[in-house]
Amino acid sequence: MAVSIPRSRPLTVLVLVLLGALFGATAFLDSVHHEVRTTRARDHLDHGRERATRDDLVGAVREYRAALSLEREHPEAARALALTLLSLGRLSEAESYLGELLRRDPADGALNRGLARIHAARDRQYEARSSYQRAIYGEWPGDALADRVDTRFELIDYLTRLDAREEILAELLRVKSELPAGQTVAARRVADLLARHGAPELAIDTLDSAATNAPRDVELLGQLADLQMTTGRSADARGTLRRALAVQPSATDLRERLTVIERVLTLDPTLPGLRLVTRTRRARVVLSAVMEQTRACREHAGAPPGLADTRDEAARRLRRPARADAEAAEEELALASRIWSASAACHGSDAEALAIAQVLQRVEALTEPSA
Amino acid sequence: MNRPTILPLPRRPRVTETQRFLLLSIAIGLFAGLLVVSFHFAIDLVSWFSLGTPVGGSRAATLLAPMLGGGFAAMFVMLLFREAAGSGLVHTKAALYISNGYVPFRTVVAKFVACATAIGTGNSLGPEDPALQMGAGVASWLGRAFSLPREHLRLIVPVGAAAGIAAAFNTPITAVLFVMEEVIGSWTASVLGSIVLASVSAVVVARWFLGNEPLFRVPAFELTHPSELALYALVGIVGGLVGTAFVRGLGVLRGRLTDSPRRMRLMQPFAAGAAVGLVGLFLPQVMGAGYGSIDSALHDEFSWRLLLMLGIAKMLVTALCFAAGTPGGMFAPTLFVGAMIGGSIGTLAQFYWPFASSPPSAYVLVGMGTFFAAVFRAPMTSVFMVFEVSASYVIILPVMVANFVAYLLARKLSPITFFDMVAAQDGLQLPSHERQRDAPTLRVEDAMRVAPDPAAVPGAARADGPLAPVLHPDQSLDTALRMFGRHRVLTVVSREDVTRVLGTLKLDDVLRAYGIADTESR
Repeated sequence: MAVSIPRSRPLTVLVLVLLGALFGATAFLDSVHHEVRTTRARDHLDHGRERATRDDLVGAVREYRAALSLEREHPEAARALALTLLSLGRLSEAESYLGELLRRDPADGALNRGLARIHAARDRQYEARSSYQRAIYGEWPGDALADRVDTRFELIDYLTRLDAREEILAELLRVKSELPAGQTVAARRVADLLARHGAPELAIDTLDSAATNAPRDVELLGQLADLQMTTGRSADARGTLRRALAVQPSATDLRERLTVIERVLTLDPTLPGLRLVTRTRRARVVLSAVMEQTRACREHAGAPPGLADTRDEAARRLRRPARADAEAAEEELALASRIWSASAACHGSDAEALAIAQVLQRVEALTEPSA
Repeated sequence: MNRPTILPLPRRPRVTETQRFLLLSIAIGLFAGLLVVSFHFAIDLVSWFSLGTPVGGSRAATLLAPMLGGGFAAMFVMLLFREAAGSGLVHTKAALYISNGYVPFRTVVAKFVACATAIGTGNSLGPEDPALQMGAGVASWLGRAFSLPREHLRLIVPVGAAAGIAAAFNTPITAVLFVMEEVIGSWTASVLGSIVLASVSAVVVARWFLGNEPLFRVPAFELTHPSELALYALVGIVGGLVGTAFVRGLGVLRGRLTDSPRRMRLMQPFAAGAAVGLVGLFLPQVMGAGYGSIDSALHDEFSWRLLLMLGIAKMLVTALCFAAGTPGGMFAPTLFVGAMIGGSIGTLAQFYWPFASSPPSAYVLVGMGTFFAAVFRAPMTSVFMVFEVSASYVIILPVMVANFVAYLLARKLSPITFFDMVAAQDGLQLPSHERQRDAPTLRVEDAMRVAPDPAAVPGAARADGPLAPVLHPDQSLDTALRMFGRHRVLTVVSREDVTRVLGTLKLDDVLRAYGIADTESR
């Protein structure tokens, strides 16, 4: 293009001066704009936080939005808005903000957990798992460990809903290995979950370790004793309960549980190391105790058919002289189990009844695999 | 003794006139960029101090600010700066085609003050059209300052317009396309370089102050199912229908309001502002340009009902403001309406579409483009605008489908475009670029006489050189006309083989093709 532009140095200088002046004026406006904008945005953010502490989440959202309308890149306002929207159950909106924030800071633990909750609510299983994992290994302000453990438990709850047992156990093992000393509440929760998902030995191990660091935690010792009982480690359970009672002698429930365990230890024919004679004798004692406990059921109106015959057979056996015979002992225990389960409606709740129940449970647990 | 060699001093590089013009384009871009950034700040500050934050927080301010702000801004323009009233694009085109590129500088000042007041106080209009006119005004002023000749002053106006719109939208490509599509109406290589340079320098300034972020933050999404393109086409159909209806309605309303007595004309912006305030009490999102609300729609903040209500309400208040003569532009409200309509369709699709569908934010973006395409009839601009304001390439395919559906439908339904309608109502006879684009081009092949035997053609080209300039069948008759001079007959040769004569063309043939020759003279 051939355009004739007259050359004029003063004019060029004047234009440059005007350009500079306009730049200065714009910069001045920019500073005023920035000052007003940031001050107002900060005010709205503070008001939003205030409202959130008063549980006025809708009001908080309004304030956070106002802050973002002034400063759309305000990370604190965007973060607060996303998490408050999530609390309000406005998942679509929360998801869009979380996605945006995570693009800027993919390692943020709280944001990843928020997104994981949305994925979980929308049944996006793969995404939920990934987001939970990113949250667990992400960055958390303040007490990161507690947040990570909480997130891990949340993931386990989610996996429980999905019935993903292997993944649950894997997560529990991770949290068990990551738990630092002194986290007794978390350790108890891990143990409880491990026991519920079929790993009672690992649960006992977890509680044992925790009890080493917190020897005066009576609740923890009580939970450990229960687990030891359910796995047949009655003697260990008795030791644990004695330790707990030494710490808190006035704990009546512990004392009652100890009474039950001590009775179990005198009744249980399955305890390891017993001689055949002792096992046979204990089987007979169990049958006799069952007969005694269910005596009232004999005349019970709702007694199941056949109970009377079974009881008669048991009475006949008890009248016979005792023999050191493993087969006879098993038969007697089987009879005791049948009578006990047939007369479930009239079991007592005293220490004797609880002890019998635990012994028979143990017997059934041991005989089931062979069956 | 050898004499020492004296090296010649390097000569000052000589700046050619073309380079000088390009430098002037950069200066225009910088000036326009700074002005538009200041304009942006001014609108925000007026809004924060008149309406408060968030908008709609104070009922009294919501009701009174648009009425007083819009009313006084319009009065200021109508009484003192008449040349700053109405559409900035129409005035820029008028400057280009009527007043040889002359845009008085006072227009820039008036547009700045009036539009910042009107838009800042919540009137439902946008800042881009005024920015375009301010850019054109700055360019014209600089052109006059450098005493550019008249024909070159005309060239510089679109350069400034592009810079203004580029800085306002933070979209350099869209600005270039829009000016080419709507202001100049053709792809003229002579100013393309200047327009590009001015746009880029304006955007650089805008980004220096406002940051590199695109106009809208778009959540990540993808086209989940190919069948969704049908849904996007539906968005295009709705956008095309509603856009056409909007332009027609606006035309009728503006025509009636413009015909009213002068005293009434002065009161109309107050009434329009009052209407905005009333609607704003219930739907504060419709106030001002509405970019914040588009951002909210992109983040799924609104239900489909609210989206629809916002779209309808915005159309009403925008039509009222624009028809009443409140200073401000139509681009932002158009994007708003399209976004809300698209968003409502997208939200409904999530419930009722049998296949997987993208999140509503995708439809918000697509909707924006469709309404823009239908109202302004600038299809390429609308596609690139959505692409640039969202910085999302994923959206390009749905946007292309939907925008062209909307554009074609709007063309079919209404022969006149928005800007042509406004220009006609303002009594200006400006060229319609859409009609120009549609006008068939007469070519040499339409008028030439086919040669049965190349050897028999007098003056035909031969391998040893043509006797007269030659033409090709695909060349326009305008080109052919310029080549008649001393020659009465021109030879039409093949492009594949210049020695192959296809026919001849006489001046009479050309005139007959244009329908102005006496058939007897044949």
